[in-house]
Amino acid sequence: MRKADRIAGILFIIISMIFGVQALKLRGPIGGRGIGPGGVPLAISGGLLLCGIILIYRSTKGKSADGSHSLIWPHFKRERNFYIVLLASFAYPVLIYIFGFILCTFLFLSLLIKVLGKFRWRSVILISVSSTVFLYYAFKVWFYMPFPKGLFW
Amino acid sequence: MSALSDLFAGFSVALTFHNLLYCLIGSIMGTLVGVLPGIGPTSAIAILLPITSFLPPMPAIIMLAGIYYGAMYGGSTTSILLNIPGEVASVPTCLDGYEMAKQGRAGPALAISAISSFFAGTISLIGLTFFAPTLADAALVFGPPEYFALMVFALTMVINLSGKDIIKGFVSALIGFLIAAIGLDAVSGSARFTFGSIELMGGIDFISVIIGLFAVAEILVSMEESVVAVFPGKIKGLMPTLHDLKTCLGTMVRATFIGFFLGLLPGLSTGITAFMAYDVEKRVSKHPERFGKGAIEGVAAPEGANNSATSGAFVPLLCLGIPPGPALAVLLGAFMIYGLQPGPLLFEHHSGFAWGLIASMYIGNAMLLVLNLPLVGIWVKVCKIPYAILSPLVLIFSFIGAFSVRNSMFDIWLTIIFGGIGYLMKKLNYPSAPLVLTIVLAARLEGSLRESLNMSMGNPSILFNRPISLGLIILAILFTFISFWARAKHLRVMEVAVEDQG
Amino acid sequence: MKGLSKTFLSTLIALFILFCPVFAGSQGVSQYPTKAIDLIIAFGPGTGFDTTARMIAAHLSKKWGVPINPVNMTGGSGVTALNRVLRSTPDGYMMFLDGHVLSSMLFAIQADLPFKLNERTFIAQMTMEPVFFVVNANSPWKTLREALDFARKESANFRWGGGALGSLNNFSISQLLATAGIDPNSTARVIFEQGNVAALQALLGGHVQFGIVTTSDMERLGSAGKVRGLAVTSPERLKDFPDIPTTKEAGVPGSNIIGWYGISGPPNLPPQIINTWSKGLEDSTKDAEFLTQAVKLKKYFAYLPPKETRDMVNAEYEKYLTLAKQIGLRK
Repeated sequence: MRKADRIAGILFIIISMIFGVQALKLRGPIGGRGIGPGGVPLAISGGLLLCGIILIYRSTKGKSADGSHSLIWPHFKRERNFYIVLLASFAYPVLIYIFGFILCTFLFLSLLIKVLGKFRWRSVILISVSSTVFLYYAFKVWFYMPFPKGLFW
Repeated sequence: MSALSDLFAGFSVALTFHNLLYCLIGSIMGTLVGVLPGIGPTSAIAILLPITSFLPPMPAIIMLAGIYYGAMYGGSTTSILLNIPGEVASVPTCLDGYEMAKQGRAGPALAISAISSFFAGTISLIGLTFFAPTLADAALVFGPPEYFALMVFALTMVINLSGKDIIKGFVSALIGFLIAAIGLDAVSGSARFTFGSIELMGGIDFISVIIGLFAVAEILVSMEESVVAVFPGKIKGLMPTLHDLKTCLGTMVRATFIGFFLGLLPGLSTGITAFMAYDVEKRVSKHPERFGKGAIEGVAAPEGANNSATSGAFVPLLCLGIPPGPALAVLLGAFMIYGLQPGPLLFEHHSGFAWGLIASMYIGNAMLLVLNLPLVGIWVKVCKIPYAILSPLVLIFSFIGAFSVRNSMFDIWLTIIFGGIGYLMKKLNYPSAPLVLTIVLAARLEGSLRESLNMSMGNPSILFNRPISLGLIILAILFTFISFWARAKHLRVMEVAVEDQG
Repeated sequence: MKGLSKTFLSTLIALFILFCPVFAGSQGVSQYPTKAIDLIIAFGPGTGFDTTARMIAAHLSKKWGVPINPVNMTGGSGVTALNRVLRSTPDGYMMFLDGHVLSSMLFAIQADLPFKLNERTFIAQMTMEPVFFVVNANSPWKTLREALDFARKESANFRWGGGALGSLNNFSISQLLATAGIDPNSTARVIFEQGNVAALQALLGGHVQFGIVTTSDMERLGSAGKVRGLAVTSPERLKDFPDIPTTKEAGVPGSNIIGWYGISGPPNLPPQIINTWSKGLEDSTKDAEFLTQAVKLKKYFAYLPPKETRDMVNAEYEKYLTLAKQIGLRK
């Protein structure tokens, strides 16, 4: 856990510096009094900087306040479900512009259900179609939500 | 008491078939809308505004109001079953509610949520009935310095929600502040931390963050653990036990008061109210370590509070014509379409209408209880759905929910990214509750601070020379000390226990 | 093998069902409008902005027989919505409610927006929003002059409130003070992050002493005796509020800011679509049912055709630009 704390600490210090510098660039208070738009963010960045430093300090002292296990990245082969879900999630908002809401949702659902579970294609298709149709009607027709249009549809 | 006789007159108006029907429709729709993540009562009421062109005012307003408080009944459903907060006010419910579902206790969680909502909703209506005008004027006393002090007081909750490592809790909270700061600053018009991106100029919508941190992250973590279903075993109890109910009685009373009084204050997000109720429960409990692991009070408190907040919210709306939040702002629009001016004159000129509305809310709450309790048996089956089917559906639900807030694809990206961040946070033991709390609080905290300083031409003493704000700040400092002391005591107890064992 | 072809067949049928809506779908541009139109609303439900948009949408959709969907797209003080609409295809199926807050005032304050003021198709101005200067009913000031005298003498204690920087409140009160010879920066100007409603709430609670309202709030709170209207910025007294003098009568004729709402679309909209909209909007302002509803909401409808609207907005922009620079509102 010490390594993770150290990395996290460095990360937080970097974040606090980025935000802090940006905050300093913001204009001063309007009318010259009170706090400008950068005031509170600057204070927060300062706080984050402090926390980052404390985390790093603690990691060097060899203690970990919560005694949790270290972070192991999920193994590619054994935890393939994790990566498939992640990949599918990132692909969805990209592909929706090509395939449109209906097709994309249908593909997403059928692919994931088939891969994650051990169902026959027929059940998978049935569930995906009915869910997609239901979602389409509920959100597009009843709530008028403007889903992005794909290339074909 | 004239209020009582007016109320009875109101019941005679509300108990007609027409009005009852629309009350039922509104309550049901509100529940459904509350269940769906992202879409809230605000959009639902806005979409249904056209009914005002063919319905007379009483049934229409009764129905729209029903949607508003009905949504608070429904919001807990997805929080408990799927770890997706239906809206901000349901976030604390996820903390213990979902844990209960994983332990096979989704039934009691859903039931106590409905019972607590009914209890708090109905009792708080009494406050609305008898004390509304006085309370409305009293609420106006809260100006920017008082709001700031209240927010500072609310911040002390972060300490309590931090779990074992307080530094990680602070980090979580601070990051929440930074996230909230991204976007166009309404006060000065400056773009903050947008790094030139148009999308970021619109700010980071907290619903996306919440859905990502809770729902998506939970799924990612579960993917590693080969989860079969939320609770695959045999579900034993659908209703809370007598012991549960006894424990929660005090909870519900406290939640009613907290929710009602905080709901009175315009501009205060219902999320803050729900968190406060949760936090107070944790403080007064004899075993606070149970919270976050499936304590039933952790469900009863926020659910009750967000319902009594709806009654509180009607006070400034009906008495002053000031809508305390966006949903009621739309409702105000409906009033205006009918030419009804909410405000002090509403009770004078249209007494039948005003009291009819209030009476309908009592009826609506009762209807919702009767509707929701039997549904528990059906909802609970969701826990048995194979995870392979449930999780993709939850993901799509999350994406659509996030999209629906601002009709923006960017929000879907945010949800996924925060899902990843939430996954890391869970793995590294960073609590996500402080982050959510500060995202909700930040705007009001910073806003009221700057407004107060504007009022005093930059002089910070304005925060301290007004009685209410001074009092709240002192209370905040006091509670901070108490929280730290309680943590130290608890940790020492734990250390002693570990020593005894090893 | 048989199992596989059965699966294949069911997949084919399923896909066919899914794609049916596509085949039912769109045809040409010959007779506009043929399908639903999205009317983008840059602010949240419940605001005057939103209410106006929904009113127009409801009326026109009945007239044209296609749904006009009011779609809220909030964020960035309207910039998010503008960004979406101004970059969309100019096919007439995505339009937006425009107003002073998205055009003249916005561009007067923000120097670095990613689009230009005229990078849109102005269709029409629809409403006029005169500004009422108000104080709490408990205030000792009975006339505008008394309020301004106090502001002159005790600037630091003169607290007034407005919504975001580019709001009607800020602009109109700043203009009022400037025309009366008072530097707005010397007064306690409170900018409420939550907008004009919060400013109104603070006025009612006595936390600020001066503010503005528009017609509907004036009606509501004025008749309830909660606020006192000191003056209105319209050129003549309004029929509905005969007791409130104009700013001209009150001695500050330079205070004349009036807000507006209207309809606009993405740049390079085809003339046929512009004509359809402008005609539809113009007719609605003569429609009895529409006007009755307007009266109930206390909205003043005043139609201006496309070219005149564009000129009006540009003239306003110049005016507000000068004002914004003068009082330090511009970044």
